[in-house]
Amino acid sequence: MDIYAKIVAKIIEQQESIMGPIAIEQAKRVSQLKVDWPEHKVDLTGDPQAAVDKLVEQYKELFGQIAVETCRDAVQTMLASLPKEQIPSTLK
Amino acid sequence: MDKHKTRKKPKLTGRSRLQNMFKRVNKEMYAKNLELAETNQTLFLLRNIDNLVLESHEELGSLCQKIAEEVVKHTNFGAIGILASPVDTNKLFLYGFENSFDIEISRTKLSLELTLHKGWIVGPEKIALIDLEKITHAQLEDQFDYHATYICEIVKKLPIKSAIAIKLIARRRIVGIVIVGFPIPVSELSEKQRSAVERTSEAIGVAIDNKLLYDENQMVLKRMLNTNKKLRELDETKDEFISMASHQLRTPLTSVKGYMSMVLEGDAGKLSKQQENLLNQAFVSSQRMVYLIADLLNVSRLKTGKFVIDAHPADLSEMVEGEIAQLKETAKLKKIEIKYDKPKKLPKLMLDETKVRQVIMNFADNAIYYTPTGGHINIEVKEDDGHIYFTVKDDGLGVPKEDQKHLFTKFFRAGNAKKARPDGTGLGLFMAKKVVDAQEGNILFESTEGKGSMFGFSFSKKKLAVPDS
Repeated sequence: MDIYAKIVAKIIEQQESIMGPIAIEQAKRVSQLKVDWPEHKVDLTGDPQAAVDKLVEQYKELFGQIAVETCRDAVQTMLASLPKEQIPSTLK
Repeated sequence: MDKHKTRKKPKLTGRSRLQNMFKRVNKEMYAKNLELAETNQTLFLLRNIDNLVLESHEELGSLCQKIAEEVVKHTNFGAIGILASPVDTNKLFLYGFENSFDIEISRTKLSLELTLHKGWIVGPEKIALIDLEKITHAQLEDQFDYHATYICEIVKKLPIKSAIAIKLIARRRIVGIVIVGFPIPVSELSEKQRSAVERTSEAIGVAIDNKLLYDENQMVLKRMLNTNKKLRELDETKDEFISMASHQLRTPLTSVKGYMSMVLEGDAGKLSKQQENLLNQAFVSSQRMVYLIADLLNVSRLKTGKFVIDAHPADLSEMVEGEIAQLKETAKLKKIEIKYDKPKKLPKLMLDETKVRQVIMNFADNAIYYTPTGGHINIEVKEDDGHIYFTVKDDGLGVPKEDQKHLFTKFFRAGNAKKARPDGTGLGLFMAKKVVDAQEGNILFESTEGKGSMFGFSFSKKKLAVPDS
């Protein structure tokens, strides 16, 4: 899995620990993501940064800004290895 | 138309109000769930750390590395280093190191000598926030001596910008240090992150201290086992020596006693009164040496497992008569009257005759020794209540009350007995009890200091009955 797929997987994992299976349902609604959660496999189509942003927005829509902060915390160490311009805007 | 008509807010329909309410409830539930999830995660990590300590018999170094791996797996810490101070050292060693960036870092034998250290490590502050973007090589040297270069390399390789260092203190000493690195600047570290580091460090501190306590216990146990082993070897050597010496001494002593007995009986011609007196005293002393050697031999047999009761049908009244006969001369010298009314008919018992004779001799000889000149000794053997009793009563020194409960213990001698007879061993009564107990009998004892004592034993007729042939 590339770094963005890993970021998406980590976010879904973290959200799942908070809200349960709803997290996976919400992730599946993002058109740029193909989620096979029993295998913990995630595929991204199109612009990967936009795909990550879409996922974060999905959670924000339901649960507010706190969900965004949780996503950011979950992938903090992964973001550290990305140059600033490659960090999805919702996670900056 | 009114131009100044203010624009009214559109009225919320029931449906939108409901939707807003759901959103608010969702957010609140999310916040609560987030709290619970974080608590769960922390508890899960702490439990895993505890399990690592409880289930691990590994060295401190391996344990710290496993803890580091576990922490990185279950937190969002960028990197963690665990330094620990093993038992009996004043050094901290870097035992555990892990990072979440999948970057390979070579481990080095980083160690810090605590007694030589200055700076934060030996200062009063427990926690230090480190700005890795601004820290200089000189500042790192202050804390980490010649390891500063290695630490600079780590900081360059890993995308960490800040660190929190916490001292782990247990039993008033620094048992370790945890350093957690984050990929964000010091100014962006949240209270939540600091609390998480503190909580995790506490658990690591407890884990390390438990491990150190276990290691200390093992060291002490090992030392004790070694000491015990040496003591056992010394004890065995001593027992072997006593056994060997007793055997070697017994033969010539038996000869001495035998020849003296012959001379006293006139086999070498008539003796003058003075010669008879002197020889009697020599005979009594040699007799005492024979008893002493017998006691020493029996004690050493007890230790080596060779103390065995060899029971055969024996007449206790006959045994008593035989032993008293040997003491007639000794009693005569002190003008002590020994009274013994031998019972007419007594059933035989299954007894180790040799050992029981020694007990009878011991009690009777003690009675003579500790009774002043002109005193009285009454020896009795009787049957009563399903038992056979043997008792020796004297009107001698008696035993002080405070000494009575120790009387039958190994090497113990009552205070007044030590004065009256400095050369005693304290083994006679100890062996007497062993012999009687081994044959399921009971020791009998009563005494009043200054008035006299009663020593004896009883055996059950039923338990020691001679089997029908």
